Parts: sequence; C-alpha cells; structure tokens
Amino acid sequence: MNSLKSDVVIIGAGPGGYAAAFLAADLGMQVSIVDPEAHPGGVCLYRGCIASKALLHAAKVLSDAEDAKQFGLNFGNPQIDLSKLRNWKDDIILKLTSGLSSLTKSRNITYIQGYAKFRNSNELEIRSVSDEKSDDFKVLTFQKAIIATGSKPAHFPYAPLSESIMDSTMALQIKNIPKTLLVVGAGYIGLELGSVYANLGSEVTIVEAGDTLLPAVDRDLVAVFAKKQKNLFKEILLSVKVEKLTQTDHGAKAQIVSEDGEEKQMFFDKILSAIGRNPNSQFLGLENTNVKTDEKGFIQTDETGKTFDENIYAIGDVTGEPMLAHAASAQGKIAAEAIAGENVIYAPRVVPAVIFTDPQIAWCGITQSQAKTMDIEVVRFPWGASGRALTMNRTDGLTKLFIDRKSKRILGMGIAGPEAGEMIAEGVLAIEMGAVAGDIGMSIHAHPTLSETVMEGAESFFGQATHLYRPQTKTKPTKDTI
Amino acid sequence: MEFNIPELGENINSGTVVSVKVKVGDIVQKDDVLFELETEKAVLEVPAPESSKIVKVLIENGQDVEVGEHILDFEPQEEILKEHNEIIEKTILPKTEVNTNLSKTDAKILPAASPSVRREARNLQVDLEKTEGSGSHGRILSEDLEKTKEGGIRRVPMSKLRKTIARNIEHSYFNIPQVTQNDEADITSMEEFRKNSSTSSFKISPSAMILKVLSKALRKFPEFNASIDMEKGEILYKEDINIGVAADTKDGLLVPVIFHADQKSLSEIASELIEKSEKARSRKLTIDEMKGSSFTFTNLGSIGGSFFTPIIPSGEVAILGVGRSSIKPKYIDQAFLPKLFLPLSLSYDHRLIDGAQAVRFLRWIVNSLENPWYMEVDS
Repeated sequence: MNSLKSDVVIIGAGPGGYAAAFLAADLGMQVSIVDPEAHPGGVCLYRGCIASKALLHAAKVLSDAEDAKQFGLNFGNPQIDLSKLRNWKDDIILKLTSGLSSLTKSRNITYIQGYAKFRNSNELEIRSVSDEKSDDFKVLTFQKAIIATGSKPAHFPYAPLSESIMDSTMALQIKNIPKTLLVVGAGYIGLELGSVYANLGSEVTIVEAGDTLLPAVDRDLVAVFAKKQKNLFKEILLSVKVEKLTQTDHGAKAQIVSEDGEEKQMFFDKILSAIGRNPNSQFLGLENTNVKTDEKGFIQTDETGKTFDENIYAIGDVTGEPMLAHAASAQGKIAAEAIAGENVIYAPRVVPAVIFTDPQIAWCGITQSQAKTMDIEVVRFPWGASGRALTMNRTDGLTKLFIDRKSKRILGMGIAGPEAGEMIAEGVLAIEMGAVAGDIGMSIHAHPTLSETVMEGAESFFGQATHLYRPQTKTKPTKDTI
Repeated sequence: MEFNIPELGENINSGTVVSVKVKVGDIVQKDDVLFELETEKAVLEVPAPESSKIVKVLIENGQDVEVGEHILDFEPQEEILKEHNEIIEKTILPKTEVNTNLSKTDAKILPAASPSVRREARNLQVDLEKTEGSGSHGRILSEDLEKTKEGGIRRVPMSKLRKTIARNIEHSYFNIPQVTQNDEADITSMEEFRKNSSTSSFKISPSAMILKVLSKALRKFPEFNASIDMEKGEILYKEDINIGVAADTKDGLLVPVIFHADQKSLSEIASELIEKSEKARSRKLTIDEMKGSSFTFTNLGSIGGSFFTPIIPSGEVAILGVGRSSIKPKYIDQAFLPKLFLPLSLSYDHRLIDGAQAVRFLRWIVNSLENPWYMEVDS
C-alpha cells in the first residue's frame, strides 16, 4: 500500500477542479488532483461544453451554407465525412486537455489518475482506473479536500442505455447519423444536441414533459429560437410524458402519453435522453466524513464552499444549480482562497447562462418573471434595426435590458441571436459594476457590430435610440435627470 | 428538553447574548457555562441546569433575548449514551444557508459596487449597505471604503450597558432641576494619616476616607439620603445609608453599592471598595450588588481634573463628586503655607434641597475631612 501526502487534494479535474487546483498551487499550497481521465478537463472538455460546441459550430456552418442560398451562394448538398468531423472534435479535446496537463505539471501539481474515495476526513483511498476490481489502492493523506466531481446525465430508470438509447455523452460521440431521432427533454442539452443531429441530416422529434421549450428562459427569447428553427425539427411535442423507452431490432421504441391521456407508440432509429443531470456524490465514501447531501444528492456547503466537514470543500455541479462550468470555476477559486485563509465568499451578482443553439440565447441577472414584482422597465431592441444584423442576414435577433426605473441601474440582460453568448459579457460587467443605462448608452460601441444593439437598447430607455424610433412619453426619463 | 432563559433578578426582563459557549453536539456538565448574557448592568453567566447534550442552539452572539425565551434544546445524559454513535449526525452546522439558486439575483437592488470593491469591503469589514458612494449615481468606490473605515462615520450599535447609561443620564438630566455647589477641603492632615495607616499589603484609599465622612453626613442631613415622589407630593427618607460608588470600566460606568456605609469601619469600607471595583472591572458584579443605592459618590481624582457637575442618578436627590487634590497656599498665622486641597462638587435636587442647606451639608463634609473630631462634636 503506497501512501501519499498533500496540503490540498482536489477530486475531479473539470473546470471547477482544475481552476481550484491551479489557484491553490499559485497560493503556495502543495496540491494533488485525482481524476479518472488521463488529463484534466472533466465533463466540460471530454463530454460537455467543448465537445458539443465543436459539433454545434459544424452544424452552424451547415445551416449558414443553406441560408447563403438567399443571397446567391449555392454550395450544393454538403458531403459529411463523419469520422473526420469526429476526429476534428477529438483533436480539439486532446489539445485542450493535454494543454491543461502541462499547466498542471508546470505548477508542480501531482496528477493522479484514479477513483478517489474518502476513508475519513483526512484520508482518501485511490484505486486504479484500469483495474477496478483490484483490491490494491493508495492512501493519500490531506489537510483539505475539494470535491469537484461534477454531474452525470440523469437516466430513466426503466430505459437502460444501449446502442440506440443514448445519453448526451454517447450522443457526442456521433457514431452515426440516425435517420430518425427522438430527443427526450427540451432543455438546453436536448435542443443543442437535437440541433446538431438535425443539421447533420437526422429527422428530429422532440418530446418534453413541460408545456414549453426551455422553461427557465424568457418567452420572448425562446420565441426568437422557435421562429427561426420552426422547420429544423420534424415535430416538437409538449406536455408529453415518456412512459417507456425500449431497444428494438432496428432501433428504439418510445411509449408516450399525451396531456389528454392518449397513449402512443413511436419508433425511431435512435433516442437521446436529455432529462437533466445528477450529482456525482454517490461513490465518494462521504459516509466516512461529515459531508452532507440534500435529498437529490447535491453536497451542501456554505458560501466559501465548505461542507459540514471542516476539512472538506465542494464546488460546481456536485453542489447543485446552476451546474455551469463558469460558475464552478469561480467557486473553485473561492474555495482555494478560503483554504488559504482569505476572507472571501462566493457572491456573484449574476451568473450568465448561454444556450448555444442557433440563434444562441444568453441572459444574466433578473428575468421577466422577477421583473414583474419590481419597478423595472424592460427595453427591447429588435435586430431588424441593426445594420450589422442585416449584413449577416440575421435580423431575427433581440436584445433586451432590464432597467430599474428609479436608479436607472441595469439589473438584467437577455439576448437571442448569433453571438449572443459573446455579447452577454457586457451585461455581466454592467451589472457587477452597478452601471446605469446612461453608462452603456454613452459608451461608444464599434460600428457596425451586434453590440450596438446593447447600446441602443440602453438609449431607447430614454426614448433616444438612433436607429429605433419610440414616441416620447411624458413619463420617459431624460438623460439630464440621470 | 427545552431550555428557557431563567429569571435573572428583579426588574431584569431581557438581555443581549454576548458569548455562546456551546454548540450543537456539545456535552456539558451541570453548572458549565452555556452562554454569557449582558443585562442592563451585569454580564451574567448562565449555567447548564444538569449534565446534558446540546441538541439545538437557537441563539447567537448579539441577539436580544427575553426571560422565558426558548433558546436551547438539550438531552439529559442518560439518553446520550444510547445514541452516542449517532452524535456525528448532528454535530456540525453550516455557517450559512446553502444557496442553491445561484443564477438568479435577489429581487433586492444591491449597492452599486464593483466585484473588487465588494471584496475589499469584506476585508475592511465595511457594510456596503451603510456606505455612501461618491461615484456617479452613488457608486461605491474603493476610496469610499477607506473614508467609511477611517475618517468618516461608522455606525455601531450601542451595547446594552451604554444604552442603559444613556437612558438613565438623559432621564436624570431632564427631570431633576439640579444645582452644583463647589467647595474645597484641606486634606493635608487626612492624607498624612491615610498614608501612615496604609501598609504595603493594605491601602486605604482617599475614597474610603471620604465615604466614611460622607456616610456620617448623610445621617446628620437625612434630606440628602432621600427621594422625591412628585405625584404623591411626598419625600421618601431612607433609613439605610447605601452609597453607590461610580467605577470606571472599559465597558462603561458601573456603580457598585457600599451598603450600610455608616455602620462600617474605615478599613471595612476600604477593603470593600477594592473588592467591588475589581469586580466591576471584570464585570463580575451581580445585579444585587449594583442596586439599592441611596446616594452616589464619584471620584475622578485618580484621572485628574478639578470641579465638575456630576448628574444625580434618578431616585436620589444628590451626588458628591471629587476631583484631584492639589497643593495650594493657605494663609495661616500671617503666612502662606503649602496645603493639599481636595475639590468637591455637590449636585443636589433643588426641588427638595435649598441652596443654604446644600452649603451647610458640603461645609460639614469639608470640616469633617479637615478635622475628623468635627463630626463627633457636631452630630
């Protein structure tokens, strides 16, 4: 039995774990990372953000080529070399993960490939990945541990994964392009992967138990997506419950029940289950520590990331919503600083969210339903008035700002359209800095860019947007009063 | 079992928790201190009623609590053994509520301050909600934090003791028409006697000497050991001579009482003063040791200063203050001789005491300090 020692050990090398590890090392601590993969990266790189965004880029190129017919460019039917696409995606992942490996080495962080399990509040046992059955394990003694084990796709208990019933991890491997695909779940994962397969040529049907696409997102933003992509999917079935998924000889079968109780059987080549994510907190030996989880298995922490166990911190997906890589990174850094003895808490004003469909949907801060209870003016700037959007043949977008009538402060932003994910950073910065509408309106934005829609949105709060005429009302504030 | 705030003493209905000594899961023995409670005048240690395990703590430092309030849950010891192995389940509480809804901002509009300024504020322990921003639209800048911290205004809640002092002083000042009479006593021979009588292990303080004389004076002038009931139009003459002695502590003014001062010897008074002022400094005085005074004495001489206008505590009709004694020339037998003079300031309630009587009272004290035989003769 080998034994190892570390000031801080981080379990899980996703964007939360490696951010925490790197900062802890930069703060002078001796750090180890334990992760089953050969390199750091976690779900985000291997089976999530990066892999899906590579494929979504490919999908966007396909749909842009199709759109180009409208202004006289005809490429003919695309030839898709699936193995080349897959290799390109895998190369990106390898490049990024091996880059992280060398960053790990240059910081003198010990990277241990294996499965970690707590023996107590000071020791981990680490088992080999290659030989899971072996009783051989190493013991690592630590002062502090950070659990950053993330989450995994939730599964239907009655629908075992198989060749034709996939979760998001399998779907990202794009073994083939099924002729027909059923996506269960109209959240962001279902819509992103559904878009990839639809653009690659699958006939995609989406079923959702709720009565709307993207239930957490403002309706006007979802409408931009729905309008643009009304023909992308064969069918979107809302308020439909999936009873059972079964593998068949030629594919898979879904038994569904519609809202009015009508039962139906549907047959597809493949089915993708995208019904949410569950925390990876089960096999960590948490019962040997004082760490506590809630009824869903999410680890409970305070604002620094500290769990009920003095020595153990937890960050990222395993601690619950919003289950976003960038939130995990921020939490990881706070945990590392807290362990270093700094007086810090994780207290962002906003965490941006981006859905990488086409159009992209991005938002931060308050949403429409929250705005209802406040004295908020929602200003919308439709992209039809944006020169840049016209030159991109994408006038379907929308930028909107939530502005507090009294203080004129920007409290929320929502964007639907290409590059929405890039543009949302301005909203995050404005809210974090406490910017008022005038600050954005008076900051010069480059012309012609989509970012001008944010500036003009702010100006239209005062009824003074250059490219959008809104009749002045008596109640409209003027810039002089700000 | 529930543990409620016990009866703390007469007229004490509430207090502020200043130091919680136990946390969930702690095993305490009978009479172990559970927490300290700052009441109007004393800090009380609240003991465990029996050996037990703490299963719930409903109070935190700084919280105001009332007599009878449910503040802890505990389990008697026998039950502890049964489930000793399950203790870990309940031992640790998270510092704050877990925020599972990170993507949403609070509906409340927070102060305009950038992330770096917010972090700095946290380190400087500056409350942004109470910080005035000097940037546009009230944006809080880094400089504003320094201002708030150093030169500007820092809002701090009053301690229970300070609130009590403030209320009492305000009440006395606005409700008692008071006049201060000043006089000086030649205490050259008193000091000589005092120094000769003190040993290295037992010191008689000037206060003890003055208290001795004062207690006799109060017996001779009973209207100074009284209070007024304006509603009924009555004067309440008090049989016992209980002299409150103001003590300066780091937390504020405390007034332990020397009971039956007139019946105590000089050395008894001297040693009681030492004991009580030590207890005052360590805030170990009980409520009972600080109530029931009929007259108050305050000696600022050890710090310095001369005459001043002490304020009469409510329920009393006069207060005697003394400052630092100093050597002054005294004209005796055609010559100026250096003598040690003590400045005395008597504030009196002019509703009950006329000016002439106040002078007589103070003169009597001065004469007795100058020549202790005087009080034996004129009593």
